[in-house]
Amino acid sequence: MEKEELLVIAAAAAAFVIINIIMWTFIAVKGKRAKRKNEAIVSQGIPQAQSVSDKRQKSVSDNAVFSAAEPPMNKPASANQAIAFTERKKCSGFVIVDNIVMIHTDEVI
Amino acid sequence: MEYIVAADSDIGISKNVNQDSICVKTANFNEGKAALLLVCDGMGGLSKGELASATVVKSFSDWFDNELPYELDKWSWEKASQRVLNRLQQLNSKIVDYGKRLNIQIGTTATGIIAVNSQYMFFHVGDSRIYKISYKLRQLTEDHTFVNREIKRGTMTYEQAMRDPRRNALTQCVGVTGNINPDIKFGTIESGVNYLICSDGFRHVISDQEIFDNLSPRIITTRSSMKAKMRELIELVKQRNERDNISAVMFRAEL
Repeated sequence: MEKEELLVIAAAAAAFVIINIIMWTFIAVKGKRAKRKNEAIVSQGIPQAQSVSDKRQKSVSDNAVFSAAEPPMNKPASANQAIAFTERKKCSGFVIVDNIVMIHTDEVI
Repeated sequence: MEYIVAADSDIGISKNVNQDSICVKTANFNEGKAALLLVCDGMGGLSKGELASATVVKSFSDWFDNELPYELDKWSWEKASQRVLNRLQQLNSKIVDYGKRLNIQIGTTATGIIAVNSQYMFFHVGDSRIYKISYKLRQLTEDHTFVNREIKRGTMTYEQAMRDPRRNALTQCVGVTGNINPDIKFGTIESGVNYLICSDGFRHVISDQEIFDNLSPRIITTRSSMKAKMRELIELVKQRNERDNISAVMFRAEL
């Protein structure tokens, strides 16, 4: 082969390589963009669809956290009652022996 | 330690309603014994005096059943007396308000003993009495009556007081005036001593000597003898034409 022919073949191969590099780079960038877009849809799309229920759940869970952190006086009544009962201890073995009550009316004030 | 109690009440010979109410309760708990003895002599128009006395008795009865078991765990006589005072004042307001609503005046005496083991506290409003009967008869309460106040002031003799038409007029009772000042005193229970709480109907026509002779701790030592002798005295009072209702309770501790 002559020298001129070898140069044409080398130039064509270089062009082929460059075109392939450009093509695959383009494909790669496009693929990344598509992937980012999909990830964005996944990460944004689900909360939007469940926003109302999520807010409700959040408010409940937030309250639960706050109430647990608050002092006993701010707890619900049932919790205070439970505390009151534990503090007010009943004496052990209390048994009524004599029980005489004489009243002469069914009326109450 | 043993608490012995008995109670009796009678409508008497002339009234249509027994306006007296009484409450006698004892209880055992792991650290000892507790007792409540209360006599309330109701008074008022439209036969509502029994409602005033029943209101006070029911309130203290509920306290004994439902609140005392919790108070006994850390029993304090100071706190107990404050609670009794508050309860009497609340009951007073309740009965006063009821009377205002119905445009009637009703009220009741309230004389009681709360005992826990060997200590006791008595509270008193009106002219029912507590007697301690040991080797002698001793009246522990002072009547909240007009004549008793005048005797203490020196403006009336005992004989004048007995004839005075105002001898039954009370200076304070539960349910008539806005404020009451109950007497509250503390003491130590003496073993083998009898305590008597009675309405004025029980004691009007029998003497102190008769009370002592019949209820002396030397002869009255059991529940059955207490009941029998109190009934005997009630019948005696009726024979002597007492016109009021007649009520009495007795208490004795064997420590």
